[in-house]
Amino acid sequence: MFRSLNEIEQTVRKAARGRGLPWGIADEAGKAVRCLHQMELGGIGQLIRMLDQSDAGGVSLRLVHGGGTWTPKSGKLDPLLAGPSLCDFMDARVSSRVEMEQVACPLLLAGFLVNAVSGRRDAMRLSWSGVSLEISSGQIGIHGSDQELETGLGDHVVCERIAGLDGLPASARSGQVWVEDAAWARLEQYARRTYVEATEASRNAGAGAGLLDND
Amino acid sequence: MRLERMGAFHQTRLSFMRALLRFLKKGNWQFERTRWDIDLRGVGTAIYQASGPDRMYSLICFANDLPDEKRSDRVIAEEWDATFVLFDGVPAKEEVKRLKKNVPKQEAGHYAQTELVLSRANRSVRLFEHVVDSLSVGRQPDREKMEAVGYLMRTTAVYGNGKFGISDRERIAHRPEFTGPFRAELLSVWLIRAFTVDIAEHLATVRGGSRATRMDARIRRRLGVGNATGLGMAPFLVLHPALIHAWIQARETALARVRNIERSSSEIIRGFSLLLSRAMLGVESWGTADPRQHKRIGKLKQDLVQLAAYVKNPGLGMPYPWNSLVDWSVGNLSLEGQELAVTLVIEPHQDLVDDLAEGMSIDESRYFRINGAQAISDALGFIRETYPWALDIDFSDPASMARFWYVSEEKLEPRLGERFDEPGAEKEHPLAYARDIARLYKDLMAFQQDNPDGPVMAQFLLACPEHRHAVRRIQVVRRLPYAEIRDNLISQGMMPIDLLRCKLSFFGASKFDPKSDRWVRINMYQHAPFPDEFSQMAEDDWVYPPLIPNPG
Repeated sequence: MFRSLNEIEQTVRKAARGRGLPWGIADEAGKAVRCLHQMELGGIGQLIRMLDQSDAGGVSLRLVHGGGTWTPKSGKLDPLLAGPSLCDFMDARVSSRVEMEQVACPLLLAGFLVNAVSGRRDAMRLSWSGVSLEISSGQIGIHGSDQELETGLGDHVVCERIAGLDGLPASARSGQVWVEDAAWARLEQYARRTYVEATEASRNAGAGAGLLDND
Repeated sequence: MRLERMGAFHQTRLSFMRALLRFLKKGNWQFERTRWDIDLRGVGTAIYQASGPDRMYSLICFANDLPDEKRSDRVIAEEWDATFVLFDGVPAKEEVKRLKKNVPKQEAGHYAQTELVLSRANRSVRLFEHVVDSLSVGRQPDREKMEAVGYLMRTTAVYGNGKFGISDRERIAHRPEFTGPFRAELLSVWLIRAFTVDIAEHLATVRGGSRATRMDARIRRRLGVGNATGLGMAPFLVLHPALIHAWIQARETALARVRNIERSSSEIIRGFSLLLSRAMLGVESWGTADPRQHKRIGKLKQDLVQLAAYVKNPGLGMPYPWNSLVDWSVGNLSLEGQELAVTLVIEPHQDLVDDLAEGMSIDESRYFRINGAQAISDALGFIRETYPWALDIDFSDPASMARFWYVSEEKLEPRLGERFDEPGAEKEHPLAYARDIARLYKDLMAFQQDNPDGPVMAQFLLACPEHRHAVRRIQVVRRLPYAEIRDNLISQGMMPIDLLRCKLSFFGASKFDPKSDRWVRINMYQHAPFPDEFSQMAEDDWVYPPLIPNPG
């Protein structure tokens, strides 16, 4: 079914939170996946793959940073957790290069970085085995095969600042996006974890409105 | 910005309904009912078309014959008296057919990018039936009954911005007619108002045949569109700090410009007195069964008498008359009265303030990115300076933590729970910024102590990602001072309707009628011109009732 970009952003936000990520991270995850769809890089498929790995205990919700390299506390590194911090470090010129080990679905990192450089002259290169993405405002230059791009694991992922890419037109699209119903249903399963089950008491007291409207 | 004051706001010239109608008038927009295919039971399809210099929009209405027991005020209902969609352009027959299968299902339907706004409404049974009955026998409806309700139908939801797969706002936000906040939604509501009267007149004709009459135009103008607004609207204000800043800043700037006027002409002063009399009439017809609001309206009536006395003596002939009036109001009037005084002093100064209405949208993405280079010491200083009210709250006191905001599984409705009595607090939504910033402050202090070499925010958030939403908040508020609601939104005594009233006043709503501490009924577009008389009516002089008594 076709989905609006706002619908995707909001549902991803809830799904990320439903998987256990903090709200502030979930807010950015929604925007990152929306952005990947605008770039026609199919974010929801990658996201579900990552959430499923995470839900099975294969992805850590904490990361460890020592000696300039980010590693997962156990299992794989969560790109939804690493992505926002990556933007903080690269954007703030706190660092011009960050290295990460064992990143699950590393393509998801690109969504965060595109938003970070949006409207700026900054540019970044994100690379892992066989893949290099050159990211500037509204634009991603891709080098690598689809298979390598959509890998479920980037053993060693590097993000570094590169010279600004002037003159590239923004390629972000707006409009509806086709999402397979099964994928959407899976996303909603995660989102549903943020909802509280309704009881008769909450129905009456929680929202406060009368049930009938006949006056 | 304190909650109590936000809960006393009234509409102003900058409110979105008024700005929209001014825009349509300036652009010489034309309106036409292009289809009326409604049967004898009141079931069928109607289309209202709005044509501007560059584009056309169509409100497609699907009228239903709903049994009384299915009529619910709540967003969680599944059937309505009428459902609506604002369509981008003029729909072909096939498109109307497609929409007829989907729009009556609302959330459960499938939509395309051509659909901009989705909405539904129920009749006010007591007034709708009276109006149909009166018109069917050639009589105009009873004035008192009209005043008591003020609308024939109430919308129970108005959805825009990509909800349920309809068009994202960013696809239309650059169009001049939709640059202001919520304009597509409010265009829909204004056209829905025309439909509510047309369907009543249609049913009156069905019932009375040749005896039936149409509603007098002046009586008709007393009807707005009702709306029941619950907690669904409350999180919006908290979660869109940049936008709220833009709204409040526009209002504060308008007030500052007016307060800065050194002398006003006698024409403006006469106009203000006239306006005050009309506002008094408006307040006279503001009814509510809510004891708290009833008392507030009673005090407001006294405030307006006092204000009228002030306008005579000392009067407005002194230097900086509006500044003096506002200063005087703070010491002498209730909050409702002070805020109505703000609305009224802004009102006669259209040349000075109307431009501000065009600047009430903001690109929120510009304020979303976190500045990772911010020094922790700088963040701590800012919190101490800006959030002393939050740092002073004792969050170990259960009363300070009594509530939690959540979304119910049933129809995804935002609700407010009792933290210590109800399950679900672990699924709390991030609206408790007072508590979260107090926690952030504590952890930033500890982080600074552990890292004496001048750490920055990027390092803190890498270690403590759970504070990310609160860090974003303080960084937004640093750039946009009106972005914060300076109150504890999870305390025991918090009044959620204060949030609703603030937002609805910016929409341009009136006749706030609280039904509990967490939902409110309102009236939209009461006294406004209808589309079929729009071109002949004066620009933006509709919000207060006219002084000459209407017939009926």
